[in-house]
Amino acid sequence: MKKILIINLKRLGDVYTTSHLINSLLLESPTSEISLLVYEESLQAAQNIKGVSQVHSINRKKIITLSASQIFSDALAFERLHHETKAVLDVQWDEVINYSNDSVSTLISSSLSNSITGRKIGPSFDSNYCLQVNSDWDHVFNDILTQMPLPPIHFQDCYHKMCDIELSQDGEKVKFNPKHNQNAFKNLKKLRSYFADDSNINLIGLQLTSSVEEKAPRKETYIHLIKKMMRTNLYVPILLVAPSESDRDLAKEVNSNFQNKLVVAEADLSALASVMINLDFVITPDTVTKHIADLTETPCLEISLGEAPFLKQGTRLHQSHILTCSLNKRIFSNKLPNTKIEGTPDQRDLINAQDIFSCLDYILQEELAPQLSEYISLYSPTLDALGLRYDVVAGEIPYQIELQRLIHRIYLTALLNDPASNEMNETINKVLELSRDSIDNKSWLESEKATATETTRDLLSTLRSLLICQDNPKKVTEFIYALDQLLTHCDTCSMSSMATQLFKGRLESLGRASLSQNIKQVESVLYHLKTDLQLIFSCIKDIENAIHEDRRQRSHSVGTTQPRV
Amino acid sequence: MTCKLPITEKYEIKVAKNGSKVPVVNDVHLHSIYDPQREAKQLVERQSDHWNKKRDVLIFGLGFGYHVQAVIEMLEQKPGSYNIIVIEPNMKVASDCVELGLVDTKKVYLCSGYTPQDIYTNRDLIDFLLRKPAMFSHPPSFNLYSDYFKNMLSYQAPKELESISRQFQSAELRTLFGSFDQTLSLNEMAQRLSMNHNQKSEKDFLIMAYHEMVKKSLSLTDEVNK
Repeated sequence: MKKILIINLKRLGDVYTTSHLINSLLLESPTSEISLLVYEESLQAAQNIKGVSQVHSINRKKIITLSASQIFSDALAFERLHHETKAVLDVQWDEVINYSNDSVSTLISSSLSNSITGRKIGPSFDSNYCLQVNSDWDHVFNDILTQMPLPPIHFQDCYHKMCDIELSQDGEKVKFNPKHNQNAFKNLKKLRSYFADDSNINLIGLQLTSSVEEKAPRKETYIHLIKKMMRTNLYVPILLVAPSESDRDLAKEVNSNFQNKLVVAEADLSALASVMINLDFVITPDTVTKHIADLTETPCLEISLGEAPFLKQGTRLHQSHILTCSLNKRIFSNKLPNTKIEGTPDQRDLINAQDIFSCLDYILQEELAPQLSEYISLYSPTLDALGLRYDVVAGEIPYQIELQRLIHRIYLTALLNDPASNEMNETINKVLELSRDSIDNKSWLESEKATATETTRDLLSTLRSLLICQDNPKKVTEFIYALDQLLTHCDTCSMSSMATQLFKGRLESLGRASLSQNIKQVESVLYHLKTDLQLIFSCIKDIENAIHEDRRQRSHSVGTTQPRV
Repeated sequence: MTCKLPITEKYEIKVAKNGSKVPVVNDVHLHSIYDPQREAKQLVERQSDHWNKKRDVLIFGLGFGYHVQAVIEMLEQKPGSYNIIVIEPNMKVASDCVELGLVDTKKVYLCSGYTPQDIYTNRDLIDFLLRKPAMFSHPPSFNLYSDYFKNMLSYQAPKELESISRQFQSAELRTLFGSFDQTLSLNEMAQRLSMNHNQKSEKDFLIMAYHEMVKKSLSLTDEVNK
């Protein structure tokens, strides 16, 4: 029996996402005993995950209150942390996974060195305070995904690659309470029975709120949407509310526009999954609801606004979709004012009721791709060799961004999967499809090429200065300067920045010995970067050739087509 | 910072018009000399408006507990458990109150004769305070022992490791922290650990994790204090 500890010190929604990894780990090794370490505020989510043997929690709020208050001794705060982690520190683990990869989880994972008999997955420090990783995928997670605003790989796929296991969709991932199941089934079945032909009726759960106001459409949008839904005989809206005063008040306000005839389903986290499995579809701006919809395999339309990072943590269900402002208008950071696009309305006003309604018809009635408002895109998840990919299926296509995202996926696959395989053919076809429609179909490649050229130049300069440094240790400043210059390419959001980030991660993982002691290792890491940069040129060449061949074939087919009479 | 308990120069027990007993400390009557129960009820009604349905109440000053009884009666009007802690500096008043059967010690946790340091290191009290209880002050007691209560409310726990180490219940932690520079604060020590590249133990990483967890709130507290 393998004892596995997963440290996830994120919020409720992120803790729910751990279910996918736990499910895959258990399918691969059913006798494993999996424990979770979470913050107390996410405890309920952890307890709702199926397959978890034990949940340990840290009451962060109490520790922070004790520490921040002048009246209490810091001994109380630290002793509480010590006490709450003791149960974890005292166990011999076969595997520890630093899932949340924040500074606290990394340090706690590091403090478990003597308690691990097997591997540590995700970043941690060794006793010399050097960053340790299990594989390059850990570097991707720690260095690339944290730096790129439009990450090339979904978090779940990255976690699975870090653990070197297949992501499995099979298996039940959340716990259900039989009593809640019974109630939800009984009530929603009764609701369906009110309609003459209930086979055409779709019960649509509407989550009105999100953790942050900016992430949810306005109340008026929902009211218009519900009016549209009620004009058809196809949709029955059900307001989903959490057991809180603010949620209840909002539902009451919305309901007052419909003579209080709307059905309201109030469910806490343990009951929400039971409600979900009895619905046909869910519309949600809230990530927790979205994650539970995914885990219960309830199709949903995720409305992604504000900093909600759908490219990292978006819905995984193939019937589900994501409605968002165009990616060239979004900033995925809560540190920047991102709700207002210059010269355009607030993001919350951009997505209107008609957009949501036509997406509903498109998904559930299999109608043609909807016409969406300006700046709005509808994404759908699809699978390629790297895992889940999001493609625009309606609305605005930000060609440059989409093409760049695709080529970043192709590069990452070539870099860390098998470079010789043809597994990304399908993604290359998608590149061809987009590049045919794009007006400016080459500048994205040119810009990647230019960045790769500059990075290679700086790499060669760094290698040169390292060689000089070997002969003349006084020249170390020049090497450091060159290295510094090389590392500036980490911020370019390109294939080169991915390679440079990977290099930076590998460099940081070298021991803390002096440069003269480490020089051979530094040299080897630099040569590794050289290979990775060469791979960029090879990827670009492959894509250029594919585009060229595609054009040749298309012009040939146009040339051979008989003119219409 | 140490704090002495207030000195009682004069103490007597009088009988109110309604027959209830009233303590008089240093010539200060701690309850109404006419009807202590009625006065207590009015006091509680006035102050409880701001309690927001809280079921934990911290009371400053016991006297002979008429207001404490009024608080109990108010809380017992609604179902569910409740917790009351009373802080009374005067041990004589507190023991007389208990002996006279004026306060039910099964329903109330009485802290009498505690220094602020005793209060803020008592684990039961700390857990209670972390639940952010409603506050009730008994005005005659609060005014009589104003220095004591002010000291208690403005108390600042010592930050140096020398003092912190002594507070640990775990011998393992006392030994661990005893090995560091005792003039540093815990956060300064954690910062030093993060800055230097010496060999680190499991516990060092836990101290650093602690610092990472609390440092945002510390910078906010520093800003507020500025």
